[in-house]
Amino acid sequence: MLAMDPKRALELNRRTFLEKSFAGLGGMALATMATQRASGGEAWPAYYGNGLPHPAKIKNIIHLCMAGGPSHLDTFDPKPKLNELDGQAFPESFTKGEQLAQLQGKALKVRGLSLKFKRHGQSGLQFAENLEHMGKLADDLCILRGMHTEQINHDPAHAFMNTGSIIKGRPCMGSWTLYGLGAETEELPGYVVLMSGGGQPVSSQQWSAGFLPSRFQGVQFQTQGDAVHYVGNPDGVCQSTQRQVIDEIKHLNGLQTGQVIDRELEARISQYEMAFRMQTSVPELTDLSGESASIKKMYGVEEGGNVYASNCLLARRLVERGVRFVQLYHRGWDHHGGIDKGIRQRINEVDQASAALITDLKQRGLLDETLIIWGGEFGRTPMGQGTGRDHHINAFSLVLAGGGIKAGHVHGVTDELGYHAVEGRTSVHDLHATMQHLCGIDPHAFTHKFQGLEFKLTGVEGGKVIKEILA
Amino acid sequence: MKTIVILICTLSSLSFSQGEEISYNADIRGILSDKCIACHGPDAKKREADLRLDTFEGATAPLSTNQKSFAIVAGQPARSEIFQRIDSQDENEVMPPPHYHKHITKEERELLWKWIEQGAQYEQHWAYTPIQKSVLPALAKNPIDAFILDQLKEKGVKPSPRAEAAQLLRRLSLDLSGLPPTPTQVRAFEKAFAKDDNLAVEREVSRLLDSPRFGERMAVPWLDIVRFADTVGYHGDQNVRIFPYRDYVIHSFNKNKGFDQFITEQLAGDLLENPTSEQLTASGFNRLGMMSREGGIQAKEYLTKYAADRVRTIGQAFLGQTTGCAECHDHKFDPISARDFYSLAAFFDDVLEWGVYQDYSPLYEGMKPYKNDSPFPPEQILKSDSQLAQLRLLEKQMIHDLTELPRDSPSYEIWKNEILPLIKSSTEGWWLAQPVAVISDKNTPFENLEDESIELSGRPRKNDVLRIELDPMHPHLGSIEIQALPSQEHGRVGRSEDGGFLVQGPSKSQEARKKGKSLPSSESGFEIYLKKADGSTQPLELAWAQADLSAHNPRLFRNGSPRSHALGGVWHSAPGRYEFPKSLNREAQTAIFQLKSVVKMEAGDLLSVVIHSSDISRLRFRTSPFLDPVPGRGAVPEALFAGIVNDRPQSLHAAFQLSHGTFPKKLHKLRSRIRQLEAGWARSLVTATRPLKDRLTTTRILNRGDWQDESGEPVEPAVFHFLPSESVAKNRRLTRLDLAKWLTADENPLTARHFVNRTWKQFFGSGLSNVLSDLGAQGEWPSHPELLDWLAADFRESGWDVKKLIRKIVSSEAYQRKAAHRYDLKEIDPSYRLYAQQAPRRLDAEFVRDNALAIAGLLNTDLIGGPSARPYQPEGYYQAINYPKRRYAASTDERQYRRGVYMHWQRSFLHPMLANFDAPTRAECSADRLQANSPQQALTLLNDPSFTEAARAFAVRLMEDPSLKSDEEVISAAYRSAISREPREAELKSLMSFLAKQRENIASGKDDAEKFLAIGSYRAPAHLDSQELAARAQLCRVILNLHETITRY
Repeated sequence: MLAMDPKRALELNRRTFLEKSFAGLGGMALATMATQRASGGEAWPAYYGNGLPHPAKIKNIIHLCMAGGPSHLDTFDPKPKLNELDGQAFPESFTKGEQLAQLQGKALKVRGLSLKFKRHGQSGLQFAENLEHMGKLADDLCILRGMHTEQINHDPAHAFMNTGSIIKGRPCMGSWTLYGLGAETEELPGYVVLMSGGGQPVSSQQWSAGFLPSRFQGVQFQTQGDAVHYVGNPDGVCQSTQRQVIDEIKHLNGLQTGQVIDRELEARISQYEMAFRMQTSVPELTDLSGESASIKKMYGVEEGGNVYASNCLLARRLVERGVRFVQLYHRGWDHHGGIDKGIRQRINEVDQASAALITDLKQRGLLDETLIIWGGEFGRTPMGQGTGRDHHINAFSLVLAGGGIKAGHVHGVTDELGYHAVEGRTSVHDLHATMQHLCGIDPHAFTHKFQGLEFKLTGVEGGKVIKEILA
Repeated sequence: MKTIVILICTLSSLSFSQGEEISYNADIRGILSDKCIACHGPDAKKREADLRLDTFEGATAPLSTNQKSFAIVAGQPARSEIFQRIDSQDENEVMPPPHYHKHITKEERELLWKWIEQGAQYEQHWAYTPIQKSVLPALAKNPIDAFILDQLKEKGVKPSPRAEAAQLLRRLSLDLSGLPPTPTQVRAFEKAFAKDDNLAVEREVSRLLDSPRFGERMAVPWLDIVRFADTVGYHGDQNVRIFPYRDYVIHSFNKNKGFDQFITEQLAGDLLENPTSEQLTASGFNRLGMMSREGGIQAKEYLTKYAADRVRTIGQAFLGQTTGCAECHDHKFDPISARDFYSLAAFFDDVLEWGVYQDYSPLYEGMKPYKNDSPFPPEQILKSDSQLAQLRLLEKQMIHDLTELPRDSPSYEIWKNEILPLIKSSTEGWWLAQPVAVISDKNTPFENLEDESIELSGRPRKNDVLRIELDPMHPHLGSIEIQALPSQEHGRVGRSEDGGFLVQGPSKSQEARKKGKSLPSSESGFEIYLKKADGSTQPLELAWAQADLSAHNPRLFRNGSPRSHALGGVWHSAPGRYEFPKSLNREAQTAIFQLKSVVKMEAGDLLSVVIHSSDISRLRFRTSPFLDPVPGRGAVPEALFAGIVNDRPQSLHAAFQLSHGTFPKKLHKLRSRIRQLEAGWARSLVTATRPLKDRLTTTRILNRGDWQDESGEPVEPAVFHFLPSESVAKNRRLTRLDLAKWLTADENPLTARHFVNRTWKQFFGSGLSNVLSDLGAQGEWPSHPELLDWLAADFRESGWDVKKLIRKIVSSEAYQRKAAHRYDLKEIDPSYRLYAQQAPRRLDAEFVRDNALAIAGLLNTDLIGGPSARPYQPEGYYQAINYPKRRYAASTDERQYRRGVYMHWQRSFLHPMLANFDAPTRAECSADRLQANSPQQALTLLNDPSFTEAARAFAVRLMEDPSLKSDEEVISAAYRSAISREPREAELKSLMSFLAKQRENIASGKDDAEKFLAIGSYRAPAHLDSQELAARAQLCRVILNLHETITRY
């Protein structure tokens, strides 16, 4: 028999088509799925639209990404030994053969802590004293001190944190989540990214849907002009005219459905409706004027003030409206120099609003169904770099809060200098696995075929669910 | 998902009938690959129980656990151990194991059983078998139709008839040029089609293939697969200079370069004998990957990343193979080993590159003094055809604008009498000046040559100053040109070791320290005086100075472009460090000094020029009465000079204006654009080689891809071990040229299949094997394997003739069938894989844009190629980019309306319009684009200023057409322009009432017509009624938003 038997080709194709269509080609297959579902939003037919493998603890995720790499040593992982050894040569036993960033080839010296630490709550968790608002929530938080990552530079480290891979074109965790669960909104994007601060650049690739259909990509809300690109009517066109235009487009597209058999045509009609809803709901969403003075005060929202604070408030409003995944980037944690002052400034910018977000979600009964992740793409060296610290991948801290997470808990231990995570070592893939587990997804089975391979967020080897931190 | 699973099972059981012969490739490979091979396949390191099921030998060998058992016993399924395992109820026994989340279905088990029963015959993976031209079924002349009809016949499906003329032309136009046909073209075609349909189609195909629009259209998927972008992607995502590569791609498709040559030039253009500038430009391909200059990164780590990216790209772009997995381990499904991966990487060991393109650490020798703003070396300097074409266009525009300026009669008369005769006797406005005296402060030997040049010789003499007195031979001094000519003795423009020269004043810091104050401008490398007859000198005031070619210091850049094109008192001959070709130091280079105003010399006056240079070779001087000449060009454009010589009044008028040099603002802008073109010189990333001994790293097999692990074995370049390679040289180190030759060698089964398959998709909406990125085991069995092979073989035999392949495709009946109209095929063939009818396809991002601009009459196609253009983009979109901070300035001239293929491609923040319509960021190579259907697409078409502006321009077009009187006529004409058809009754009625409503809205003041009409930079003619225009613009918005407008049927 021929290596290629033309007679067999079509059967096989039909099979491949059906296997692939849901996953790869968007549009039609998704629309068909939607109509087959008993309930749920038409806008977001989901991979798990017919039910999750196991009950979910959470519905939403808010990732407060402190971009640049906050020092774990000056926030959540106190190492008094560093103060003792301040200025002395750093023990070579720690650093021999290790990858360093800007400190490579330089004399390594211990740098003492920039901030004092304080215990909080019944749990007695330790926080840098400037983190006073977050400290007050100690008994609601879970600190992961044993995080480690594989990438020592910002861009790849962010990519690794988001996609579990450093190769571009892979979907990020927000897109995976949206792909798996859909969203409970028909008028907003299901995955929103908010940005504040300055310093190290952050690429929009970080919220890319990669090889998943583009509808699952994060939509960055802009701080200038329209919050979502092209969501505002053209200048001089009022809302009712815009409505007429959209109705006319829908009507004419509808007339066309009798003329051609094009599955994209019907999808197009519903996308125009969704677009119009976005045009009305996005401005309503971003208008904070309806929030009470006490709420604004709690977050620290002021006119022309701290963008991070208003982003936190926006995050709550997004989650309330059924947006599945919200990511806040606050840049400026890359303290190669001037860390004493710099870290105080950054903490000052984010402490109150981060805590307010958690408090606010809690008082609205939303915290139980939300997972909050606070932290950066890596940590910082216990060795000094002039007046700062260099990038560090062997240990860093993340703070979690929300549904299904053990509160008032610390998981993981670093050595006495905070160089290596020695107990409860947690990889980025483990974090992803845990996150998906909380969502009711089996991290090992949730895959998507691309270039002939089954990809998953947790990488080839997969991650472990961190059982110890589950409530 | 569950529903889908059930469907699949039903289908596969349908596909299998009793007694049929089971084919390994068609029936078994997919099952094994998906369910077994990851653990029992080619990856020796991960192989479980030392059992491999992907080869007959492996599957039938005694099991390591029990030498008397065999996984597979050919002919005896009952004795084949695999069924014990498949059927086992024990969690520890059953295969695949539960944690693998896959199981063998009943139907699959049955197939396996039958296959083993029939002898367990393994076959080579289809894509790795030699390409064969099988016998054509005698059903049609065109081989495409022969194979397709054969299958349709077997399925009992009738093919659809040919599409109607208008739909057909629209399809051909959009597929071959990316643009819709004009209503006139449609009308003419319909007429011709009625007369002789085949001939009419053939003519249109020829027209479209011959149009330069063809190359622009074909470039788009190619630029995706080679990941062409304007920025480096990593971290600061700085700009690179690379547009000439895009020009090369467009040009290659247009002139129908053989695809084998196209591949060779890109991979190894620099290694060809005496490479042309075009071939060097093509070699920029090896530099298209992402690069980084982030502080704190390690060169070796990034060199490893660059190498891996390159291997992935070669695999995808040329072979359709997913090599990425083999970076860490042998491929789990395909026979690509980790050794194959690193051996492929080793071909590029000679490529001159850096891990970190920044001078922040002494570790990175060679990058001094490169900063965030600097270019990314090495670069090629070339005369760019597109820049020269642009120059001619702008000069033409300028001449036109000059003729429209008013003139002052008396001064015109003086000019005509005094200066015009001089101009006529000049060389495009320039006169050679005669050297009268030459002094070298350091006594450098020199010689006056017959052509009025001065040749300096001997070794460089430090701090030399040349003082030269010249007789310009005419009294009107507007500009002075210094030519640095190749030496008659050694052929180079400079006497320094690298054959270059430097003109530079005394060191600024030294002098400043001495004097304790800032320096006067005369401290530059040049001084120019008027020497009066009485011996006194008088400095001439300069407006600016510029050279056509000069090497810029990396510090003098702003995000990849020189801060200023003017000479800052320093003239460093090209090429600079890491600029190619080195032989540029054998080409004349010129600098121009423009005086503040025209100076009239008196009898006996001389021009005195002082040049600070230790090493310039040969100098010559010219002067001109014209102000504002362009370095490296005539003082007046060639075309204008011809007019002057022939006393054309318009030309004389323009020349008069030009020698006065007092221009209105618009002309100044034009002049400044002309000067910025640097006489057509452009720079572009290029492949340059470094000796292997200077490599920063040795390519070795990296254990799990870990760049810090140096224990792996070093490897030399080699092609994939599992593919035939008889044409490849055996006993020497292979080069990139060898790689290119192997890719296009007769024995290579993948390159032609892959290209043909991708090209097919462009015309039918799906590939013959529809996982375009993977022709490997996990890809798709082709729907028409014999057809794919026939086309691949024919493509190769034709000398890799791309246009011929495409002509064959679009000439087929299958291509020309009516589209998307068969209810009877909705279930049987939902993806149009039978080719019984044509498939509908939404236009790709770039063509969504082109289409709207073309319909609106805004599209500018004057120029083919050139630097990237910047359409409107939301403000503040680049706020998260840094090093340096970025401000996006939208193009304000005709560049605003260039085609999408020319859009600035920012990898970290792709233009939202492109991103919304599924264009890839090109950070990684991509063989295929997904097609989503999203609200963001609707928002873009509705509200992006590019599209609202297009709607308005479209409306203007309709209003300016005197033949359109009634609303019916207007709407019909709009439909013809946008979708090449007449509106149907219901559509017409609906749009008429919509238009009436819009008139009311505007009359009632609900909408602000003036504001709406002010979007974008296009301005409607003032005589048009703005209220009516606004109403019609809304109508046009609707039409530009129709699904049919952005879809090709």
